Amino acid sequence: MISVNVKSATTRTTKNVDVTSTPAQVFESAGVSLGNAHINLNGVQLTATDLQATFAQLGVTDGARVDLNAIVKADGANID
Amino acid sequence: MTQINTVFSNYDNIPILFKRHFNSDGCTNEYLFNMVNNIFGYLSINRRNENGKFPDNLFTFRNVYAPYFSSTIKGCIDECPAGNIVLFNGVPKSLESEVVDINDVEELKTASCPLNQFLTSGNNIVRVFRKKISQETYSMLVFINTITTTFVDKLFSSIPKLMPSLYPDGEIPQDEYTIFKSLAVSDCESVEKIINAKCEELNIAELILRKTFEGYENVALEQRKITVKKAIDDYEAKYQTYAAYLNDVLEKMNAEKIVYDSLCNFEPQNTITFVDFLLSHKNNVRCKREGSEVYYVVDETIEYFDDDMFESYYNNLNCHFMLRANTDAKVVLKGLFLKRCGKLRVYSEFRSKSLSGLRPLYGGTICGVDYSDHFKHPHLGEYQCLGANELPIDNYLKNGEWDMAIEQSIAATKNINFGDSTVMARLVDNINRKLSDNGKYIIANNGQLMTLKEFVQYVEQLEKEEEKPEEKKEDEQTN
Repeated sequence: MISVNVKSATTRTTKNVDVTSTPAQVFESAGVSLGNAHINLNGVQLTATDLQATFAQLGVTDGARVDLNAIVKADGANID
Repeated sequence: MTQINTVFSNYDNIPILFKRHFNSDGCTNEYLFNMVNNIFGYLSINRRNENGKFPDNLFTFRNVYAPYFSSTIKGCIDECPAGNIVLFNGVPKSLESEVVDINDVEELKTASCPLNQFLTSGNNIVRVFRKKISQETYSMLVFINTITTTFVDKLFSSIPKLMPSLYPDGEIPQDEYTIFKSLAVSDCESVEKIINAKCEELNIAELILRKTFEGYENVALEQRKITVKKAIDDYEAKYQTYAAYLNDVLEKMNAEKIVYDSLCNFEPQNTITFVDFLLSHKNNVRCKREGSEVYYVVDETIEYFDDDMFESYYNNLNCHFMLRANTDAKVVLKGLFLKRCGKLRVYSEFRSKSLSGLRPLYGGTICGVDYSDHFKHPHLGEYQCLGANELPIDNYLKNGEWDMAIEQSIAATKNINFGDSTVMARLVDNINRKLSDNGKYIIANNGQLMTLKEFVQYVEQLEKEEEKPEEKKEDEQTN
């Protein structure tokens, strides 16, 4: 089991999941929408393919605590 | 009736005027002109019709004092209606002669019998012109040096001859005859008596009073409106000044509230320590602490942008920032943002105070790290602009989620917005300037770090390789 801190603009929760589960599954169980968001695992950006890979495939070892973040994509300038 | 009171505008001064006239002492031009006005006013009143209105060719008197411009004289003559006398006083001789050139004006030089006495009156040099208005009507133009009591006497003695149209029946009314005669013999009382009797008959005093205060209420109202409007404008200006000041205070207060809320929501048991965060984070975040302030630098690549927006700008021949790019810089931009065959390395620096406030800095070497092979982030480093990232960051900080605020600042470093032409112009200028640098500013998609020149060659090589298969296909088709 691993401890995953799921963080987004509206959610901040911890999920204990198996290393064989995927980031997409964890986000779904936490009720986090991934539209228009940067996803990173401990700061490493995840691609759409990575979201479907298991935590083990992403290099997370059993018993670890990781941060899984969904950051709002926002533009560097406000162009109204 | 309003015309009647205008001809006796100096009603109150009539007795004084006549006394001064007959005594000669202290009889200034102004007094004499006013007196002449009053006598002509009297003559005009006598020519009212039954309804109290004046005839169209009313006999009036105008005096023009010392006009020094021929245009003024000509203007007066043109406007002078039939049956009027215009008295020009003190006109320069050179301008007098110009009157002769005006159409339909003739000088009465050879003093005919009735005018002889008038033209030679006193020591004044008097010139009289006659302007033909129609077949039978004229206006009179009289030029004198200075108006004198003698001139006034002679003028009125000659009126029946000068303006025969005033007396179509050839008879002078008794009252007018008395006035002319009294003027000649300096009989002040008789003239006064006649004028005063006429003024009382017409109630001139009341008419003048009414004329004087005609529309006075409106004038007072308008004046009051102007005063109140000015007061409103003054208050408006003050309001704007205070509003700007209050707005500034409000912004500062809100900023402090954000800090305060984040401090209140800070719950150590639910959060990791800053050190834990840095250790667990795989991103290149370097930091330095100065008391309660933490400075950190984010080392990233530009990955998040709008391809379609860039393509539209790239293909727009008038695009502000593309016009600034030289040939190689255009290739760099195309490779980075159109073909995505490399990523631009950038860094941005932030300051966080007590993990409750976060702002981008101009960037430099405050963290002691050499970023000479990175571009300063166009939005964050060059202009300290978080843009649309500011709101989520503030919200995170309000909730004490400083780690997410830092994550948002990292995400902001990955982004570039082509819609900001000022920022893009700065980026293009930097690319133009750094094309000759040895800094490895780009990570190509083959994993190699490249200088901008190397990246230009790399992009061009890729384009050639893309064209080759098409050439082969064409060759095959031709064969």
